Amino acid sequence: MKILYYSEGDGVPAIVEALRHVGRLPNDRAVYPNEVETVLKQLAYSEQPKGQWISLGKDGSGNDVYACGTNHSKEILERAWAHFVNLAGDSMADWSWIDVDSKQSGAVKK
Amino acid sequence: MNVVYYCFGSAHSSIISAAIHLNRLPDYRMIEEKELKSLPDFDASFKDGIGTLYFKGHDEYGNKVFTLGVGAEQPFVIESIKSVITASGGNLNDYMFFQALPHINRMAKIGGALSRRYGWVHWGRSLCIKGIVQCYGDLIEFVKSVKAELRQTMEARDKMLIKG
Repeated sequence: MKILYYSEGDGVPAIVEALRHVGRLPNDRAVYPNEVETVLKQLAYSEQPKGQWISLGKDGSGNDVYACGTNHSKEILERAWAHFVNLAGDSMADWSWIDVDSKQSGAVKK
Repeated sequence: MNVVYYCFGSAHSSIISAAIHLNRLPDYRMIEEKELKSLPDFDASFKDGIGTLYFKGHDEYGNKVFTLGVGAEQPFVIESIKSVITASGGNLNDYMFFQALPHINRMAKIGGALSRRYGWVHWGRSLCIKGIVQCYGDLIEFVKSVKAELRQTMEARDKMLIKG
């Protein structure tokens, strides 16, 4: 199974959720901005081409976990991803797509 | 190889480019307005079609040719698509993406936007067709450069297969 966390804009909320998923950020409390900044620096997030996904490795169940931002193109990307998963010979049934914007907010302390 | 021509809405520049690529429009002479009007997929997409990958046919080398509308954030969307291909186990070397939008002129772009975005189909389509007829030579050159790049890439791959 592959899991993509995504959110509008630069995707930081999605990355935070994905980092929690793989256990690189705490799951039992809100995280602080400096914790997020530290991990983003480790991932060299700002140096990546805009739009490129971050691979966060495997979770405890062996699922590949990814995160990305969608800027202002979320609906377009949701459609395009599905087409290219099929074109690459993969199955949508092997994917879990998590739109972090539609989940409750408050993941990062202000 | 999967060849993807992309533009804003998969209605004009990518459609014409793919049609030239697939020899459905001429690449040796200028075009007449009626030839554009006869293309079934010209100026035909809707907002929901942006992000949808349209298969247009196989070219003379056996490559699959597609068109794709990616909206306003074109490099961003293409980068995200490359990520999903890789994550799905696909090989990026099997894909080539070509931006068609810069190869049409302002008249075609304005006409296309009037027709598809604002619903002024009669005026917009007419303006778009006039614009594309004017810049058709640029589109021919663009597709010829795509095919030249495609041939180079395929030859390089064949050489690697022979060596391997």
